[in-house]
Amino acid sequence: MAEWPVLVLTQRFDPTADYVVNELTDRGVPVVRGDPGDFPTQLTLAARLDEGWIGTLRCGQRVLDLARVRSVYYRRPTVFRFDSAMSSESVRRWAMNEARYGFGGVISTLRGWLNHPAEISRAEYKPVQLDAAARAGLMVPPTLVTNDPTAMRDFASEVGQIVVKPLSGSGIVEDGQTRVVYTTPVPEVDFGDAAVGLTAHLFQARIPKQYEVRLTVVDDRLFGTRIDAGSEAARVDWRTDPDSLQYSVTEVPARVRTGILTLMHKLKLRFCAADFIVTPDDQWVFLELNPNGQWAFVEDATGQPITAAIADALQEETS
Amino acid sequence: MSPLVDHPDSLFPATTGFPLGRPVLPAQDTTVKAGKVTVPLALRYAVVPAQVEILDLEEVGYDEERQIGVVRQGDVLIPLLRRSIEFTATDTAKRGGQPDDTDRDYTED
Repeated sequence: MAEWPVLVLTQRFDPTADYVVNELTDRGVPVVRGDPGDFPTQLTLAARLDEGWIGTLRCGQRVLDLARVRSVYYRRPTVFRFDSAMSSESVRRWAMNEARYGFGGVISTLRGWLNHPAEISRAEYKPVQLDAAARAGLMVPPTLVTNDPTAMRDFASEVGQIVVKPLSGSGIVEDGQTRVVYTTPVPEVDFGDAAVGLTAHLFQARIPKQYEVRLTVVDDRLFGTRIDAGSEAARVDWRTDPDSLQYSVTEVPARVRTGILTLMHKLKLRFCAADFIVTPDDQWVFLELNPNGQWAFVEDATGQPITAAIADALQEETS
Repeated sequence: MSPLVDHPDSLFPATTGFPLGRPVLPAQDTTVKAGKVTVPLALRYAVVPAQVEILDLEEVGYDEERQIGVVRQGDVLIPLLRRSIEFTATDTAKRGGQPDDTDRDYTED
């Protein structure tokens, strides 16, 4: 099986993927790393339909036999890039769609994804993952998705303090400056604000917090990391002040383990980075998961062997 | 610019993951009447993210043989591994002379 390579789909600047590429290489597992964004200028695909797609994907000096792919690690690819000589933006957009459905369509049929991008795409919807988490038996905060200011005010009246979270996780760039929305307590003066009506908003009851946990899951292996915040801002959302954080390994309660594995199964994920609040009475409350989240900083901080777990998962034979 | 161009995922943009509508035509700008709210509530709380580290992309490269990123330190190239990736940013133009923001990475995810 040594000749069956792992395909790593990501951009060149992705130190987290480097961890896995390095580990697989050290184990003697062949790796072909390519960025779909290099298609069609530097990636060349030639696929014919037999009993499955056969042919080659040429990534620089390396040639991947599509019929002999061991597994696929999907990280952070860039968008397709096209020759600037193409006649117009409309032509480039058309070409991009063709690339997505052609290149993407063939690549999607490969086996052994961690994770398949279609499942990542679906799981990125917070309402989907929250619904699945509740059905999986995990404790979730009282939650409201709405564009109705009155519904938001009524929700706050019912649950008390509320926070707002972005649904998409994306930031905004204005005048060259990036800003992001973290989990933010909503002041009472904003209850029922008309600005709620401008788009969908995710509100949740503010959960009393002892500490937070980043739970990294690779297949059935769980890596629980306790995060203690050292500043007021980080106590609301630890992402706001990374320098104030302390990380330590923590045990995952059996009920949470069962719940998160059930959730992964429901979402057809083999990897995720999930966030929990642990309340003062030691209840684990699921906040969200990222099906393609960062994990190297957890390994660096705690020494948990996440790289090895991902490499193990990718190394498994899939034929 | 179309959502397809904006999204970093070239295979399955989340923008098309739930096809309530297809972005065939660019959205039309409309004039906002005075006194109207113009910013969704959640964006009212947007902040500049904590910046852990700034990498100079002029010093960052890619080792084709090992298939990993490298960074210049003095006269030698070392792997990017073990460097903080919680947040990096640069204004340096990338491949093809096209600036982009894909070198930004937040701990939030």
